[in-house]
Amino acid sequence: MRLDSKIPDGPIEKKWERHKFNLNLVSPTNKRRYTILVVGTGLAEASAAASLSELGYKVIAFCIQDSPRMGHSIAAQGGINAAKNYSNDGDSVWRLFYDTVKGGDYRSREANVYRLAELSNKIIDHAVAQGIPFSREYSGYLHNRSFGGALVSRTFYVRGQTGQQLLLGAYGQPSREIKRGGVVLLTRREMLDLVLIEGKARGIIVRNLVNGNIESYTGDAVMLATGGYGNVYYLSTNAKASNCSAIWRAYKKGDAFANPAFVQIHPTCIPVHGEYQSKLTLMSESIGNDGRVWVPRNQDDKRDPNDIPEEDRDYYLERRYARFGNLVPLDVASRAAKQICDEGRGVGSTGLAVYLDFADAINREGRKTIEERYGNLFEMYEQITGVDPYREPMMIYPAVHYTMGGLWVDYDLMSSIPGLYIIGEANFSDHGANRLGASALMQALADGYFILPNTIGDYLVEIVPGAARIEHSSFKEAEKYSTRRISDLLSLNGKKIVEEFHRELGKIMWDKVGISRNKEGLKKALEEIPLLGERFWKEARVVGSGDCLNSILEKANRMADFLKLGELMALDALKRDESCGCHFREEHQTLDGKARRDDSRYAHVSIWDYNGPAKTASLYKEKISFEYIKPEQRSYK
Amino acid sequence: MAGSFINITLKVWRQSIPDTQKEMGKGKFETYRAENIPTETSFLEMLDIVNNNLVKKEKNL
Repeated sequence: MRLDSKIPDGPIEKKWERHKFNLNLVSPTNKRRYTILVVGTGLAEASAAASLSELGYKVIAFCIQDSPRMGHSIAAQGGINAAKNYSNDGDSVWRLFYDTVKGGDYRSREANVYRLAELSNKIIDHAVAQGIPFSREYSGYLHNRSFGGALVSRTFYVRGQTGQQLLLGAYGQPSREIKRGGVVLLTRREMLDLVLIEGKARGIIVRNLVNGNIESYTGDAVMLATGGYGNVYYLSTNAKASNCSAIWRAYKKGDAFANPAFVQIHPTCIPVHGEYQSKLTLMSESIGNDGRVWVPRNQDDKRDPNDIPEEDRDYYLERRYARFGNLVPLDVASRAAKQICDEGRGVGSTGLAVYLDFADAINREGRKTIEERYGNLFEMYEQITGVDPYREPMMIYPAVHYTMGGLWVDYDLMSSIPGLYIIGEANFSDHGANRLGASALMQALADGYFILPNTIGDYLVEIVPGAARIEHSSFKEAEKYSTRRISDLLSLNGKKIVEEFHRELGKIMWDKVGISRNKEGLKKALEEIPLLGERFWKEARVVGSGDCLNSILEKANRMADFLKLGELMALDALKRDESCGCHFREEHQTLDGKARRDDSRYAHVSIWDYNGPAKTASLYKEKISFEYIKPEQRSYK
Repeated sequence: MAGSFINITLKVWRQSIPDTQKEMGKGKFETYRAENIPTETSFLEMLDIVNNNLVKKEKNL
């Protein structure tokens, strides 16, 4: 397995510039001879597809939705970090680098994170040039707000809809390229397989979701920007269509999967309300700037929140973390909420919620100011819950939100399979064991606009363009496999619908591979998930045919992959016998309940290699070493 | 309000093949009953319930 991280030599400030200079370039007149297949929707996909096409490459882009504007990036609310230091509060590239490495609990590569911090400023310039309507001061300067895990204000935002606006901006570029002919856009196509020829990624097999046709496409490189796999938990803040199938099929073709157990559980989501709930809704972490989290001091206190006086409230985050208060990193806030609810001090009808109160901010700054900052979020909350958060505290509870794990990539964002590039949430690269708020948009756009377009040429220059043919036996085998897979799923004639299995898997994952994990629970999950998988293939019911739109078939196809991925996540969580970031092993905590890392044994990326359906995957390790930042116990007190 | 249920009659446009420039895909309205739907469910979640009941009844979707 090719696992050379290719981190360049030299001082960290010079690595990226020096590396770019050392990369081979494809000449401008040759670029048009190369075709790059881009799979996915969202910011990473749109930014990469546009940038590659503008460089002169031919791009074929695939998405499962009607339009790439429906990618899940559109749901990102709070903002995007950059080290501009407009707030003049001591920020710098170095501080963003430091905060991100520390926030990730020292499980990310220094060189990658430094580059991300360095590129963050270019992203803002680029987005402003596109006309993204970032919030501004009265004077016209861009306004910044604070996010968790940082003591500076470096988050640029567009009210509570930053992802939507960035995606509209990013999508404008490929739209122009589609019109020009540089990008061919194929919507409602779902990737079923990756095709390798002589060990290199040379094409993909997709299913046309409208007519069911199995289609083959050749390319000189393949890029996956297919997002995260949080929907393995069934209930998550991800869009319903978000799934793991593209990266899972690549993994089955021999691509390395890194840190699958690193899943972020976001503290500020609207609590679960009922049995039929299909997804959860995030309330941006940005509201922590003005909201205060609390529960009643006395667990038997059933008064309305507005009737509970200050002295009977426990502002537990402010009490425990005096310095960061309500802006501790996401993993710390999630665990604290769960602990409070486990102690029986949760609120609401299920007891699985805590209050997030804006009364002080409204009194201090006026309702109008709060409306300007979070108006659309408050409206969304009221629409979903029927409660007006200007009058009564919100109720929130943690929910699965982001996956730091993903396919392994080197410094060039190439995976362990030559010619296969992974960008955005689909890769594992920059967030370590915990992503800081407002860093996902930053990474997706750094990958798509500035890193991949520079690095891909170094690979392509060695490739004979257009050499792959769909008549090749590798394509024929992959088509055969995909056709058989669809017919196997269509033959499922049991009594249970796919969602029932998905909910069952979600419960196992949430209970045993969720906010906190332990050896016994993980072992149990590793027994239960394969049994659930066996039952799925015997008892599930898939109706309809394969030659037309069939959403039941689509769900079943994704579900079969989630079952296998869930097993790998539990295995990874079991083998990482330490706590770090979002991976909280109950056996490894400090006396005051903080995650206790074991740098001597686990300062590495866990990399899994598929060994076929009957064998356990093999574990490889990429050592994480620190030259510039000294790992320490994270403290936000 | 938590704990309440409602019944809904749905008129759903069903069409298996998309319209093309040459011909219209043959679609029609069908009527479905969505019964005992918890009021906290969203519209799309209500449709999931209807769909899943149809799948269980072996109705071809």
